Formats: sequence, C-alpha cells, structure tokens
Amino acid sequence: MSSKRPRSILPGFGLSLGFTVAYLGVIVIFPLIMVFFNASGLGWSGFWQTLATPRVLSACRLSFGLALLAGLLNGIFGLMIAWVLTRYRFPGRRFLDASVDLPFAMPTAVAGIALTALYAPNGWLGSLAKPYGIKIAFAPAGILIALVFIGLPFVVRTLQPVLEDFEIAQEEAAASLGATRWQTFRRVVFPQIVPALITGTTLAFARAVGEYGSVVFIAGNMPGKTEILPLLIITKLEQFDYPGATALAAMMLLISFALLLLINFLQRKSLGKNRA
Amino acid sequence: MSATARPSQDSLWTRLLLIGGTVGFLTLFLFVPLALVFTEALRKGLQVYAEAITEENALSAIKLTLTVTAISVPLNAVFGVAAAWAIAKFSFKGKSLLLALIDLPFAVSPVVSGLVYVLLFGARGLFGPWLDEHNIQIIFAVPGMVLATVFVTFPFVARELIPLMQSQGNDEEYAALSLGASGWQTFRKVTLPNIKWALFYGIILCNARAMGEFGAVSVVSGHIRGETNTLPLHVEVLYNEYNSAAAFACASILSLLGLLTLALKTFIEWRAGLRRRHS
Amino acid sequence: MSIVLKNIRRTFGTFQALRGINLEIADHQLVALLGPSGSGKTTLLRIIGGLDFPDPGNGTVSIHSEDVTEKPAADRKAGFVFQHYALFNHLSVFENVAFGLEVRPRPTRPSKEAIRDRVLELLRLVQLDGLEQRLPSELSGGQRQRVALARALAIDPKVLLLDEPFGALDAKVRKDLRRWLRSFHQEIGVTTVFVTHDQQEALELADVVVVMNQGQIEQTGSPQEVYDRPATPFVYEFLGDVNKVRKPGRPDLFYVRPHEVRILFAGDSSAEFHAKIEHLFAAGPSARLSLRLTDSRDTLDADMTRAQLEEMGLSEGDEVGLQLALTSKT
Repeated sequence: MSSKRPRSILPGFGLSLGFTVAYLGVIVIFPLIMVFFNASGLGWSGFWQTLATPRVLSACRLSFGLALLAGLLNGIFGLMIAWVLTRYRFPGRRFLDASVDLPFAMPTAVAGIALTALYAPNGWLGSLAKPYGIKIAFAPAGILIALVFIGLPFVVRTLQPVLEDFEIAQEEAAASLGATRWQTFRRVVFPQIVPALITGTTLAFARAVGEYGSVVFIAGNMPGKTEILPLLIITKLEQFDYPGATALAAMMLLISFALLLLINFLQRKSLGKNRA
Repeated sequence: MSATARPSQDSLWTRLLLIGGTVGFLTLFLFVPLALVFTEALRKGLQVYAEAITEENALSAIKLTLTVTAISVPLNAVFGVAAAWAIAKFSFKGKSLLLALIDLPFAVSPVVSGLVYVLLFGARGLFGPWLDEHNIQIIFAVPGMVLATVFVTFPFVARELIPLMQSQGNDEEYAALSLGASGWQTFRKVTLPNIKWALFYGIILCNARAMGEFGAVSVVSGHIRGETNTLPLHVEVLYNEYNSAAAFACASILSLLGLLTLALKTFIEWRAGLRRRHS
Repeated sequence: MSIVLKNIRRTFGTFQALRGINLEIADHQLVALLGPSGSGKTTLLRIIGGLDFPDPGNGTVSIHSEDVTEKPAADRKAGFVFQHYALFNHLSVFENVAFGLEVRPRPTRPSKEAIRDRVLELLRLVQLDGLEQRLPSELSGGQRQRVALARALAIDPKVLLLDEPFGALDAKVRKDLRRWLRSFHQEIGVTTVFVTHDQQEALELADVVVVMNQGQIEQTGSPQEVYDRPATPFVYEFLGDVNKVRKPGRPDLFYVRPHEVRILFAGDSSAEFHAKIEHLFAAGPSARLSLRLTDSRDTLDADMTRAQLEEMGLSEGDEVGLQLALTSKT
C-alpha cells in the first residue's frame, strides 16, 4: 500500500468505489455525523450539564470500571486459553477452539437470559453463592460475568496467530543458554506478545463498554447502582429526553473512536515489530 | 517420556494445570449457559416447547427476523464485494481512511447504532416532519429495523474479502483480460471463484449477527407484538413476563442458529484453510 | 573425547530420522555433518544440544565424558547457533549476548560489570563492537549470524553447535564468513560441530567430515579421505561431480571424477576408450567437455585446462581417446 501502483487496467473502479463511498456515507457516516451535529446544538455547557449528573456519572463509572476489569480478566484467561489451544495437542482441542467463538455466534439476548437464569439467586450457580450472602445476578458481579463472556473471543483470537507464528527456535535458544521454562516465557515470549495482548484486551474493553443485550437482563438496572451507559441511553430515549440521549451517544462515540485509533496504532506497532 | 521434555514444551504439570483451567473456564462461561438454554426450554416438556415456538406471536417474530435478515445480508454482501474490489484491486488516495471507516460500526455500541436512525427518522428527527407529512414510517417499523441491522452488520463481508483479495493480487484478472474476457466475465469466472469461500464465510457471520441483533433493533423497534418484534425481542418480552419456558424455547432456536453458524464457520475454515480473524 | 554418541536412534511417527548413529568427536576439532536434506544431520545436532532426544532407551550422548542423554538443553552448556539465528527480536544486541549470563541463578550469576565486560569482549571478538545498542532487525544477515555466535559463546560452552551456519546468507558474505569462522575456531579452540548440505563448505572448513545419508553415517574422515577415497557410492556421488561408466561386456558401474579423465588424441595407442565431443564449454582457466563413449553410448564429463585444450586444438564433434582411472563401486 505504501508504494503507488500505476492505475490499474481493471474495469469497474469508478462504479465500485462510487457505490462503496455512497453506501458508507448514507448508512454510517451521515447518521454518525448527525449525532455530533445534534449534540453540538446543546452547546458545551448544555452538553456538560447533561452529562454531569450523578446518575450519568455513576453509569460511567460502572460501565468503564467493569469493562476495564472484564478486559483485564479476559487478558489473563484469554492468554491462558490461546496458549493452550496453540501449544498443546490433546483430545477435544479443536472442539474447544471452535467453541471460543460461541459469544460471537450466540445472540446477545440469549446469552443475557441464560446468564441471568444461571446466576439468579435460584439459579444453578446463583444458588451456590447465595448461602454465603453473595449476590451475582442483579449486582455488579453479574454484569462483570456478562462482559467477560462477550469479550472472551477478542483476546484469544488476537493472540492465537501471534503465538502460532512465534519462532520456536527463540525458545530453544533461550533453553540452550540456560534459561528455565519460566524465564523463557517471561523474558522471551511474553514481551513479544504484549502488543497483541494489549490489542485484544482493548478490543474486549471497547466491546464491553457498549454492550447491551447480554448485560441488560443480568444487570438489575437500578439507577445509580447497576445501570450501565447503553441502558441509560435507552431510558432517556423512552422518556423522550433526546438531548440527553444524544449527548451520551456522542460521548460514547468519541470514546470508541479514541479506542479504535489506539487499537490501530497498537496493531501497526506490533506488525512493525514482527516484520523484523 | 521421561525428564527429557523438549525445550519448547511445558512440563506435564504446567500442561495439566493450564488445560484444566481452559476447560474449566470455557465450561463455566460457555457450555453451562448453553446447556441451561436447552434445559430451561424443555423443562415443561416438549408440548409446551412446541406450543411456544408455534404460537402466533413467535411465528410472526420469526417471520420478521427472516425478512429483516433477507434484506440486510444481501445488501451488505453486495457492498462487501464492491468495497473489496475497489480497495484491493486499485490504488487511490485515502484508502486507509476508507478501510478504517468501514470498520467503524464494530466500534459503535449497538444502542448508539439504533439511536442514530432515531435522530434522523424519528418523530423529532431531522426528516421526521417530512416523513410524517408523507405518511412514511421508518422508526418503530420494519425499515428502521433493517437500517439498524445493516449498520451493525456493515463490515462483516467486506473485512473478510479485502485482505484476501489484497493478498491475491491482480495477476489472474490481468491474464483473463489479456485473453479477451470482458470485465464482468473476468469478475464472474476468475475473481468470484477465488473469493467464494471468504464471501460465504462473511455472509455466514453477517447472517448470524443480523438474526441475533438485539440492542440496535430494540431501539428502533416499537416493541409491538406480532408486528415489530424480532425473535430476540420476542425472547425479551417473554422473559420479562416471567414466561421462562417460552422465552428459553425461542432462545433455543436462536442458540441452534448460533451453533449452526459455528459449525459452518469451522467447516469453511477447515475447507478453505482460511485464517481466523476476530470480528 | 569431546562428544561421544552411541547407537542413537530417533523416530518421528513412522519415519526413522536416525538409524543407529555412532560417532566420536575429539577435542578442539571442527567437524562438519554433511548430507542432503532429510539425512538426519540437523536432528543429530539437536540431539547433541539437548533440543531433541533419542528414542527412549536408544542411544546415549556424552559430552566431556559425562552422560548427558537425559539432561535438558538448559543444563548442557552446549552453545547452539540456529539456522535463522533465533535472535530475541525485542532485545538489543547487548541484551541478546548477555541473556545466557543473566538467566543464571543468583549464586552463579556474574555481577553487572562482569557481564558487561564479557559481552563487550565477545562483541569485539566477533567484530561487532559499537553495535551493542542495535536491535536484531537493524542488522545485516552476516551481523546477525555473528551476534548469534557471540550469544552462544557467552555461556562458555563445552561444545559449539551450528545449524547450517551460512545457509541464509548470500554467496559473497558466505565466502567471507567461512574464512573468518575457520580462523575464529583456531583462535577460540572450542570443539565445534556444524551442519551443512554444501560439500564445498564442508571440505574447505572442517577437520573432519561426517557424511550422512538416510539417518546413517556413510563415512567419517578428513576432507581428503572422504573426497579421494569415498567409502560408498553415495559419498562418491555426493562429494563433487562424478561420471558413471560401464565397461563393455561387464554389468558393474565404474566411477570417475571429471578431472580424472585423461583426454588423448583419437589415434593414441594408450587410449582405453574412444568418445566424441558433444559439447565444449570453455570459460575461465578450465574447460568442460561433454563426451559420448563410442562403445557403450554412455555420456561422461571431463575437465581439462584451457592451455591443454588449445594445445590439442580440439573442437565440438572431434573424436578423442580416453584414459580412465576406474574404480568399481558396485
């Protein structure tokens, strides 16, 4: 892409690019711009006043805090799962590998009601926690579980190709130089997969911030306690508080774009390194 | 094998521990919830199950889901092919920006994806008054749900095709053109066979998301039973009415769909040797 | 003896990579494991280094009279240089070379200053001083090769093992590095085993050449021995060009190298064979003739100097007489 190829002799450039840009513009770009246009109608102070309410702030704290925690948990467990799936050979590996995509393939509403029924005080797992006074569903813990569920594939699928392509000879070199297995992992393998790990974690985090379907059932949706940002937007819409919903949406969009830029930057950086 | 583990191999204990951890984690987070869907669906027997999925509102929800999907998936498939053709086969300024913009919908919360159309076509939206005058309803009706679905499934086909077509280069197309094929013939007989598995793959993922989308569709749907409820929305209504058996019965259909998607996806990866990419 | 291998077998699935290898390598020698791909030479090198292991109960490896068959690589002190170097991409040249010292357990780990001194000394030795802060991606192929070498030497290895040390380099660098490695080995004196598929490289560089084929050793000896007195037809064919010739009325094949063919005038009474020059290629100081024998119709290559060729005034299509120093190998 860096070098400029001469213009191709293939036909259909104008048509395909024209259609692409037009369709993209109508479906995605124009509607998104309208959000910012509407939000700008509020003015800075109006925008700020809409957002700086205790209810919005606590939803922000909840959404971002739990999404971050879910991202980190997915980082840890995703690394373990990716490692097991790429490095070990055992019966059932392919099945486990395929099943990692289940959160992508299952409709979020289905995941939502299944997790809720599972962790509700009378559910299979919720009833196990109940005697200890632990509430999972309808509490932040339940939201966290749903967010971990939805973000799991991101870390695993980002790490897998990197681990698969990792030069085994580097590990052998470390061993022949006297390093223990743990030293080899910590000093040789881990530093080189960190960019991919951060990328995957960021992807999981970004998805978790905006997630709705799988969370809304298990969350409990108590304003100020278990109300997440996307739900708050819907609530405001249902109350015909369009300016409020728009301001929230604009804020979330800005944050997702920032994350997108970060992810692009990280991916470019890790690509550059691997090309060595 | 004795103490002589190869240096790139973890010790037996490490392996057992990590495999155990993986199986445990996936069981807890994936398999148990999945098993629960089917158990709950059949808890009150097959009769109740059959009634729940053949009941009038359920059938109309299924029909609406299929309708919305049947419109949005082909649209995005055509878009994906066109975008991939333009981006992979030609060089032009702003290509990387275009690539980033195509991926944009994945970064947007489903709720916001629905909201953007409410702001455009809702009663108080930009085109609201005009639409009202001409008696056209988009929000709280099927067109809005199609739009929201198109938005959230927008990149699926394109992002499967673009990297593949970029890596394939233009040589085969040049050869076909030099042999006298027309542009359309070149596309149909040379390009299409080369990308058919990736195209199929993208369509499958697009389809799964389209049928299962909840948040975006929820925002633009009027939640009118028998009219603007897709199957996932119908599940929500049933669940909120404490009709658990029926909710899980409908959810089980969606789960089967998800499992079918996974199976097809795995099959294509195996068949075409496609590299998995996260979506 | 520096390295002693006894009856080593290694099977991958149903493929027998090594079928009973016995080999003794004396101290301070530079030894080439030479063979075509799939001959098992790299597997053997990896088994010496502890990166792979013989089939359980099938063979022993001793280094400096110590049985290390069951010892993992980390405990063997065998310096291994990988074919594609396997440098740690995220670490600088300095950190790569220091790695083997820094991962030692605290009691035996040298001080920071000692490590620094040692690394800089090694980088001087491999002529890379001044590049210690570079990343591997900022080095040329030849430089990476030498970083890998310095890294392997940092642990004071008992033996040095090189897998296709010049395989990934272009022809010019290859030649320079080959010469350099020869004198380098003389300087450091560590017993060194390298794997190669290039007979020229093995013959020029090694004290001892071990010719391998299909998981077995065909011949072990000095470069001269294996070239001049090949023990098997395989060695004959693998080391240098060779002609296969039949004598009229006899079923067995004879081997003769192109430079061993003596070209005579057609009428010369001492000629044992007669042939016709089908093609003549003369560039540089020597000339190569493609000949077809009049009796058996076999083809055969012969080398002669340009001076000889011009003196005899030969050209394509001419009839010549031949004298062949034939050795039967079947």
